[in-house]
Amino acid sequence: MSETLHISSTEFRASAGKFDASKRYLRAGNSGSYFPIPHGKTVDIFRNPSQHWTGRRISIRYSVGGYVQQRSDIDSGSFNATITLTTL
Amino acid sequence: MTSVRFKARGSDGRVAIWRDGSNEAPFDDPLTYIDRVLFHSDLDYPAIVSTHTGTLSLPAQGGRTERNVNHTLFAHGLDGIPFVLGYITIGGQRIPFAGSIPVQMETGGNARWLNLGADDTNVCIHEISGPRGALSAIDVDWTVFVTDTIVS
Repeated sequence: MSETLHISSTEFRASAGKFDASKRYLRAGNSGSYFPIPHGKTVDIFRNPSQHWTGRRISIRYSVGGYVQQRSDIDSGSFNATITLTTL
Repeated sequence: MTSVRFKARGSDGRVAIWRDGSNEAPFDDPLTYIDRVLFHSDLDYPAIVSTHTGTLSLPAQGGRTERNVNHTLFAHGLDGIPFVLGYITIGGQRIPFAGSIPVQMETGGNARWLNLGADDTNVCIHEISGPRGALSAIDVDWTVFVTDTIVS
């Protein structure tokens, strides 16, 4: 039978190593953490019906955690995907 | 204070840690009570087995041209195709590979896109771009985490 639980002064394993304290897992971090995971959409295809006809062309906006790339000759909206910072 | 409960069952190797230990529902049915589950052995926990960093140098591109290039970053050394995570750093900001990332975009919305992936042998960044106007060369710093989860 496989190992269910192993605890020693330097080791912790559960369910045949499904969790092993010697391994590295992504986990929620703080502002100093470095791996961002976005929430929701990262790209928006935008068409503003209130603009004049040339401005109603389809635009595109990518925005994640404040990093923005967008079509800049017409209105491309204002959405931004928030992020959760994680660490190892 | 909400209690946290830990249980290990030797008969089938099931182990769980969950919030609100007033009952064992999360131990028996973790997906139904996932908001209370801190750890459950029925679920997968991808572990990071290696971390890699580098710089991808992308050349200048003329207008009305196309680029569709697979850039090999490194060999992962695993059997199968691993689940990989990563981000690029531009201007000191870390941008996750959650789908494709536009690293350059013209006024009119045409962009140079990068996407992270892997095959049986290598971890790669795929570049696709078709601008109307020229794009300048750009260096992109990348960080990739290889997990022990094999997806194919």
